[in-house]
Amino acid sequence: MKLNEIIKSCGLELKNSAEDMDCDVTGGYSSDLLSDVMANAKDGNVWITLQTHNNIVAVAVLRNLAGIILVNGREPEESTLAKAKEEGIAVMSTPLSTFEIVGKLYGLGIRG
Amino acid sequence: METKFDKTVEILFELKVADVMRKDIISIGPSDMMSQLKKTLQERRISGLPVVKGSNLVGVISIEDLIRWLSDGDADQRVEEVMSKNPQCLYADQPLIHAVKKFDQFGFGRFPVLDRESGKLVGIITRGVIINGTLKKLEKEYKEEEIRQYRASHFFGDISADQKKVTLKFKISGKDFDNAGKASTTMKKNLKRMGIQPDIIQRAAIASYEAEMNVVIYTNGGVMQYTITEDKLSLNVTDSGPGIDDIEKAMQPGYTTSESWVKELGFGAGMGLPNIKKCSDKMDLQSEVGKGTTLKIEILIGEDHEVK
Amino acid sequence: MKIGEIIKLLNAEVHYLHNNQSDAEIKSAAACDLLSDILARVHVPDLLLTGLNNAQAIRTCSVFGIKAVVIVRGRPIDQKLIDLAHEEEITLLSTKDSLFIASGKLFSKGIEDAFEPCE
Ligand SMILES: Nc1ncnc2c1ncn2[C@@H]1O[C@H](COP(=O)(O)OP(=O)(O)O)[C@@H](O)[C@H]1O
Ligand SMILES: [Mg+2]
Repeated sequence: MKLNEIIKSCGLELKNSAEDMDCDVTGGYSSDLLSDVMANAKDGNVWITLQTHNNIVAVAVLRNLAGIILVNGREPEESTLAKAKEEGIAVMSTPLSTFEIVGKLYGLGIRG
Repeated sequence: METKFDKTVEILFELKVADVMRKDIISIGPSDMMSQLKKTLQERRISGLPVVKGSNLVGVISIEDLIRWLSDGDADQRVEEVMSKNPQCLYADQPLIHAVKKFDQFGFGRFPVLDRESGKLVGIITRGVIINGTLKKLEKEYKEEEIRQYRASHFFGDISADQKKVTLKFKISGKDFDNAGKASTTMKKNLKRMGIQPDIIQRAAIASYEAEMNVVIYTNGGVMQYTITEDKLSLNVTDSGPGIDDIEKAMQPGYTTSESWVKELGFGAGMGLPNIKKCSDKMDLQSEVGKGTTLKIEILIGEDHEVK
Repeated sequence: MKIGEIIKLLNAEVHYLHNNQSDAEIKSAAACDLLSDILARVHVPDLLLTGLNNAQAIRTCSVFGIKAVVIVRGRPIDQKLIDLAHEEEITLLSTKDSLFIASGKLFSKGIEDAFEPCE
């Protein structure tokens, strides 16, 4: 499934566009522990987290993630947005909790 | 980490008044005469009696009442004319800690115990009865020797150093992540036993836990002291440094100085202090860099947590 | 959904089942690795899904009033944690599923999140 389609189906708010919003999302990974994402997320995964610190952009770049979805209505910090722009990482947000947004993504057929 | 003091308090929450009270009640009737009372108190070597009509408690009369009556030199009188009406009572199903509080609060030597359903008199409780009941239970868990030492040094005075209060103290070790939160969960259990409302217990537990985590994470250790009175629960958390240099900033949601090891353990998102504030009715945070930090919070308990 | 069904669905290992109640009902769940975030919630979920396998995962449940926890990502569970779960009377399960997969599976079976954004 493409990132664009996911944004539409889940009603995500786009905070920063990636270079390629048409990219295929290979799966989902949900974690609030950066080292865990570094170790276990896979290329092209969309990452669901409530961390908003700018370190999340670095992790997304290093792991080649398709994008980051911030949950619980959290806003990315200014420095996070700036870094995301610089690196071309998609950042989205949702008022839903991790459990709910993951449930929706899973319902769309996205897996690990 | 559990001390005998913690254990004693735990037992006081666990045991019910009915578990230790004297059931062989010596009583007197309201229309019995004062001269009769004098005889009974002398013979039985006791310092007071419940006044009972049928199996209902109608008053209490003490040796003080008798002395006053004697010194007034009045003619013989019916007990009901001298006794105190509407006496302070305990219910059989209350935790023993309520009894301890009541003794401190009123300074009486004894309380009649009523069955909550029927309102009938079912027993009598005295300080001696509480101490014996608690020590008996404690003795099952500790060796004789330790008990003897403990009996000498602690007990009543410790649990209620002041009037109308229950105070509990916990020492918190810095950086001991395994035991972090133990004081708060222990306290939660104790509050439950005291019959405090669940929503208040939850707020107290959350605030206490976040405060405890801060002591474990940021300091080399400290002390948490809980004080429970009729109307509120107070928590005092002190540590000996490093202190907070900008308290206003520290209180902002999301502000944190936590290192990554803290985050990997599930904390350090900058939500602790704001949540402590949200959970408490009153919060005061004082700190001096290089000296230490003191956090004081209060949570109002309200009237209906305990039967009057 | 009953705890027993969740155990099957997640192919979970059971470390401590409080009161041996495999028919305890689970209606809501939260998925999170940040415990402070759980503690700041308005509603108490029945179940916590987390990748944390330390004592704080159990104590947070105890403090907040959550009945059961599933430790995800195949994190090892040591005896001390099991003892603590026992002591705090919190049902403790673990699964090899990721947080994403475990949450997705439960959501698809009708489990909800009692989440309500606070202010
Ligand atoms: N007892 C304390 N001693 C020193 N610093 C503290 C203490 N409590 C809190 N702080 C400071 O206040 C900041 C905010 O605390 P808190 O709101 O609990 O969030 P967190 O612990 O997630 O960082 C901490 O990062 C720390 O710098
Ligand atoms: Mg904190």
